[in-house]
Amino acid sequence: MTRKLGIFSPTDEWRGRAFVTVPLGELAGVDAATVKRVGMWRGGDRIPAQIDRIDPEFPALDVVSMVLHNLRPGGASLGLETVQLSPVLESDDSQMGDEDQPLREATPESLTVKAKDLGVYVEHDKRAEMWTNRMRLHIHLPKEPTGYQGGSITSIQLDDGEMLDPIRAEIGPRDHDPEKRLQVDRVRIANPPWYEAPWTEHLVYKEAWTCVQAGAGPVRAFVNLRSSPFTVAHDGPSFVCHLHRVISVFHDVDHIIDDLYVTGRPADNENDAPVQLSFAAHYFLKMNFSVFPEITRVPQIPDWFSIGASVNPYPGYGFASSVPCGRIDNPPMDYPNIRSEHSAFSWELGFARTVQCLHMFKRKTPAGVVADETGRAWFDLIFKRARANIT
Amino acid sequence: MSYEMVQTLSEVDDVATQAVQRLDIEDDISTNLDALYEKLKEADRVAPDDDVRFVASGEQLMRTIIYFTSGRKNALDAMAWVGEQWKGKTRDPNPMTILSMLALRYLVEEGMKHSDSDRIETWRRFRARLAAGSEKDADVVQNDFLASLAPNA
Repeated sequence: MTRKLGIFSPTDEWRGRAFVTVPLGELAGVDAATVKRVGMWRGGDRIPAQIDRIDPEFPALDVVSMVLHNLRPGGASLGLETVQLSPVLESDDSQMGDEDQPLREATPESLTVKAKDLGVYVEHDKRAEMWTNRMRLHIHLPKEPTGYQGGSITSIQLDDGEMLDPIRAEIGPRDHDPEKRLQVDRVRIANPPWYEAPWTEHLVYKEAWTCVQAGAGPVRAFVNLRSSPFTVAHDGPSFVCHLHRVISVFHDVDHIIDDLYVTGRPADNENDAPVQLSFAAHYFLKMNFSVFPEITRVPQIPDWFSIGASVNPYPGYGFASSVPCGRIDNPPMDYPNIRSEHSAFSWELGFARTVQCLHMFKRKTPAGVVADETGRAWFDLIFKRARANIT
Repeated sequence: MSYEMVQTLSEVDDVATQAVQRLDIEDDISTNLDALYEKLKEADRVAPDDDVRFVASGEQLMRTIIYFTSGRKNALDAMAWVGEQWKGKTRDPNPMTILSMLALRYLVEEGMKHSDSDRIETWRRFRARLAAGSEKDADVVQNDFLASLAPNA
C-alpha cells in the first residue's frame, strides 16, 4: 500500500540521520495487534524500521521505530514523500526478506534478541546485557548483593573501554570501583495541594527490578525495566505504582536513550487498566571524572549538563532531557563514602508524565568539547528532534 | 656526585613517601605497579634520548593517578601541605606538579624495591632518567624544588 510519510525536521541544517518513532496506532489500515514487522521504502531505498512493543500492559506505547537519512532543513515537509508500506502479519511472515529479521531465542531462564550489530540478552530478574557495534551495557536487576544497585547500569563500555571507571580501564582491568553505576534511585509523586509536603519520595534502588519487555531490530535494541511496586496513597484511592525505564541503544553512536514513565493501578482493583502518573525522577551516577570534575551548565537551558575532566584520559558524560534538571549534587547529601565522594553525582528532574533522557559518554575529550556535544545532542535529538507521521 | 649517592639523601624519599601517604595512593601504586611499569616503559621507548620528555610523561601519568584515585579531601589536604612546605622555596609552586613529581619518585623507588631481577635494570634506568630529566627540567623552568630532586641538589 502507498502512504504519505510526513517529516518534520525543525532546524536550519540538513540532518544526516534521525531516529524517529510513529505510534503504531496511527498506521491506518494496519492491525496494530497482529502486525509483526513493517517494510518501508523511500525513493527506492529501504527504511530501517522495526515495531517496538514497549510495554505489554500499555499497547498505546507501541511504536514503529525508524531511521531516516538526509532530512532537509526548514521545518515541515508533511506529505511530500511517498513510502511503500508493507505490514507483515503473524500469519504471513514470508513476503519480506530476512535481512532485518532479528534472531529471537527464548528459554525459561533467558531471552536473547539479536539483530545486525546490536542486541539484548536478559536473564530473568538477574541481569540484562545490551550491545551495539560501539557500546555495551550491563544492567543489574536484583537488590542483592549490595542492596543499592537494583535496576542500575553497572557497566558501560564504549569502544571496548569501561566508561564508569575510566582510569582503571586505562591502567588495567583489575579493581574497578564496585560502586560504579548509573541508576534512577528515587522517584517523587506530587501530593494534593492541601498536603503539607509537596511530594512523597519513593526509593526504588533498594529493591529488585524486573524486565518486562525486550526487543531489537535494525534500528535499536531496548529493554523495558520495571521497579518493585510502591504505593501512592492520598485521601482517596491508593495506587500500586511502578517506575519504568526503557533503555535504548543504537548503531554507531556514543549515547543511550532512557525513556521513563510511572504506571499505577488502584490498590483495591488490580484488574483495572493501569494509568500513567506524573512524577519526578532522581538520577544517581557513580563515575570517576577525577577529584575535580568540571560540570558545565547553561543557566538559561536547564535541560542539559555535562561533566568532564582536565586530565588524561579525559572522560566525559553528557546528560540531556526533555524536562528541566535541578541542582547537581557532587557528592549527594546522603552519600556515605568520603573516599570516593568526588565520583558520586545526583540530580533531580522536573515533573512530567513521560521523560526522555539522553546519556552521552566520551573518552579522550576535553570538558569543553563534551559540553558542546551534549548541548548539540540536546538540541538535535530532544528539543528539536525530527518527527514523522504516516497517513 | 654520582646517582648512587642520592640514595643517602633520604630526605627527598621521605618527603615523597609523606606525599603519597597524604594522598592515600600507596595501595593504588602497589596494586598497579605492573601496569605503571608498562606505562613508564612506553614513555622510555618513545623518548629514548630525551630525559625531560620522559619525566614529563611520568609526571602526567602520576598526575592522572592522583586525580583519579586519591579522593578529593586527600588531594586538597596534600595540596595545602605542599603550599605550606614549599612556601617561599619555589618561584611559582604548582602543588599538583610537585605532588606528581614526588609520586613519580615514590613509584620508581617502589619499583626498585619490589621488582625481580628481570625488571630491576629497567627501574634503575628509570631512576637515572628521572634524576637527569629533573635536573634538566629545573634548568629550563628555574624551579628550585624540581632541582632538589636532582642528584646534585
